[in-house]
Amino acid sequence: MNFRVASDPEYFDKNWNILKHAIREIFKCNDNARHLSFGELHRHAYYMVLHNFGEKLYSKLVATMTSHVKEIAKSVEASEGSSFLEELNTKWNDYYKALEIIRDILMYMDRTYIPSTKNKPVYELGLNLWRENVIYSNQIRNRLSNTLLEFVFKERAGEDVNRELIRNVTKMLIDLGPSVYEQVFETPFLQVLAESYKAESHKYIEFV
Amino acid sequence: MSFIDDGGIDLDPSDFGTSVPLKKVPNGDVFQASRAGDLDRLRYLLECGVNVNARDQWDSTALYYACLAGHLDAARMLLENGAICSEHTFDGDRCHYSALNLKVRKLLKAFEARPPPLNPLQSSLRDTFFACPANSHSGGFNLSGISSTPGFSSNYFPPDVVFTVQGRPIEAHRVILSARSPFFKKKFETDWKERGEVRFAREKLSYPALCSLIHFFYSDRLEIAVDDMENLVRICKVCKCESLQKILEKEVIHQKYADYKALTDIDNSQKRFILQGISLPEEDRLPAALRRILLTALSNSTYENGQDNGIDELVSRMDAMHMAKPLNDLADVCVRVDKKNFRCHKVILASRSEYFKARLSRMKDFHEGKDELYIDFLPCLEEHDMSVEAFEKMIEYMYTDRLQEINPDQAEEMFDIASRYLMFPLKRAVADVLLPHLETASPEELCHWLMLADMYGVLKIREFCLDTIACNFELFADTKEFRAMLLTLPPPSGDSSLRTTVPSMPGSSLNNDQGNLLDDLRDKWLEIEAAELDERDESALQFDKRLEMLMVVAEHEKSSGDAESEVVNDVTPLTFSPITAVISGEQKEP
Repeated sequence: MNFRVASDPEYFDKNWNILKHAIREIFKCNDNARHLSFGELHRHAYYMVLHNFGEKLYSKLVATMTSHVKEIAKSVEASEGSSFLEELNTKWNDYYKALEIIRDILMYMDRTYIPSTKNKPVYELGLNLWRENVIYSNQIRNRLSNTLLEFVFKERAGEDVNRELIRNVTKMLIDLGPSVYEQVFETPFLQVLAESYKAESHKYIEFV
Repeated sequence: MSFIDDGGIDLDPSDFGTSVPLKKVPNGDVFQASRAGDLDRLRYLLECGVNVNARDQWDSTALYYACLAGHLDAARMLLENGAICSEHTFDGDRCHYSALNLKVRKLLKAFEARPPPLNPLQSSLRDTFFACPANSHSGGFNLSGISSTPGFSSNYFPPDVVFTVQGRPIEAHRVILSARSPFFKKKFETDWKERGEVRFAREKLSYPALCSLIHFFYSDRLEIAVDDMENLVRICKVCKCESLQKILEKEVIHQKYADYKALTDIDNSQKRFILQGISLPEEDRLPAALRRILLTALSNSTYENGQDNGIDELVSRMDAMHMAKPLNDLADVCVRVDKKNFRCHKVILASRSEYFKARLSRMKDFHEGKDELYIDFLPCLEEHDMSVEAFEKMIEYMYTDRLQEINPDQAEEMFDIASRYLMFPLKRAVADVLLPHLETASPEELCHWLMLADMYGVLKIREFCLDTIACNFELFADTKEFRAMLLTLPPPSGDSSLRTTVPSMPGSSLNNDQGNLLDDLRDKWLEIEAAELDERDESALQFDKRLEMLMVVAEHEKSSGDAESEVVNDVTPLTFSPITAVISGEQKEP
């Protein structure tokens, strides 16, 4: 059986289409994914890598995931006002869950093909794509920084804010790598904080 | 890996590897490979299970040669495979004195006091034990040996029981404890049957001692502070771990005597006692204990007897369940393979195979969990593309780390499922039992095995076939199947100067870390046939010409063979090369 698949010229495309469809369903994060079978998807991915289609599979995966992440970025960019953080958070949670599932389906590729190349494992690939296309997107990066700071100062002013949401979003930044957290939140936060304390202390000095 | 810096010399990655290409010794023994620093050969020999601490006729070990020649990589590979280097032993001192430079000595130092590596079964269960959050910071354990997998794929598999001792939790899995101790087995069948949490109120029960014992249950390695040993003896008595208890009692007496002998006061809290499972009688070690669990579970596993008589079947089975004595095999999952339902244990499947770990934790996300398929009240997984016999072999290996015997016809399926279920050590176990069968295999069969071994990355079989072909090259050259096989392989790299340094061609990196098959064959052939070292390149050219000629013959045979088959049967859509036809003819179709 194994020798024969290798000689079927349409073998890769046929199987990749099954996987591509599955990956799309998984990204949708609805119950449709439950029509899929984990064992079957894993088997398809396994045979593709076994028959030396690892490279092809990987590049197709990158393309599929990139286009999906770009769609997400667009919908986050389009969100209005206060729903921005919530939208980002929901999308991230869905994406992260889907990423875990996809990594599990492609585990054979991660274990055998990836180490022999310079490519990143699926999980890392997923985080990188999210970072480059969503967080570092021109229309999101500054808006995200500013919204987070706004929330923090609102809370300092005694307003009720959704702490859970802030915690989740900052956790996402940490998951994406300490440098992301630093660049997007920590550095601007400390900067603004220093300025506000400066202003405050000036007030006290003038008052005295 | 990091080394403690106490001598002012740091080992960093650039110290490993060499500036000049090393000599290859494709047919060398473990001593020659160590002396030459031929890592590929050494890795192969170690995988084949040569005794890493064996001595040659000069009473020297392989590690001695590697140290003498200053091959850091080779020395490290030997050490990681359990070569002994403790100072104040004969072999160890000799390695220390012979070490070429300080870097080699430092490497030896770093590995001193390190216990030999665990077998795959023990080390995967140990990882599972430590991956439970409560156990990961159970103080006193030397965690340095644990490799954490990168990313978020952890070894975590949820425990099904938590003990609280002196206010601190220990997480564990029922089946492991039951396998190792009659006391736990009885408790889990009776008092603790439904309980997920057990609190020990007794002050006297020592947390470190119980933790060490449970760790021992998973890993077959006991590591305990000398001060806690008496506590552990008491626990062993309760748990009915008799053979362990006996050894510990002896050791406690010995330790007392050692204190008496010592002139200065020694702080015993620092002193640790380490015991390997191998010191126990075989029936008390982990593989034997899990074999008993497996046999009980297998005897309870049943064939599906037709699904048509739904309700009646269910009712009668429920009756049977109530009538018969309860199935005390602690199975918590059922795997259905081709109409047979195997009662299994999640923690074993998940610890041994990443596939099963993901599968068991993803039940809810996929179709498989949707129907809530239950058999005998257990959640059920269905596995396809696998025979009952192959699954039996696979779980035998999962539970016991051993394969007793396989039918050569089964080997291909075993290689396939070893890869598919990400149980890479299983390939080696299959190769071990397959190898004796290959001694008598025909040239055609060996070609078949070579192709399989190359595809599934079974190093041991691949080397064996290449050796045999190189030694009997003319015999193989006369075989039609061999010539046909040549056509299906990527061509050897032509430039002979590239051969030793860059064995793989751009596209061949797909074949994991194996080189080009024909390049390797040429190396083997040259080792045997090439007369003089300086004529090697000429011989290599000669060999390449020979291969080319054989391929021309094969091309001719193939086209005439196709013509013939078209005459016989003019509706042949696919053009199989002859070898493919032979091989797929041998296989039984699923």
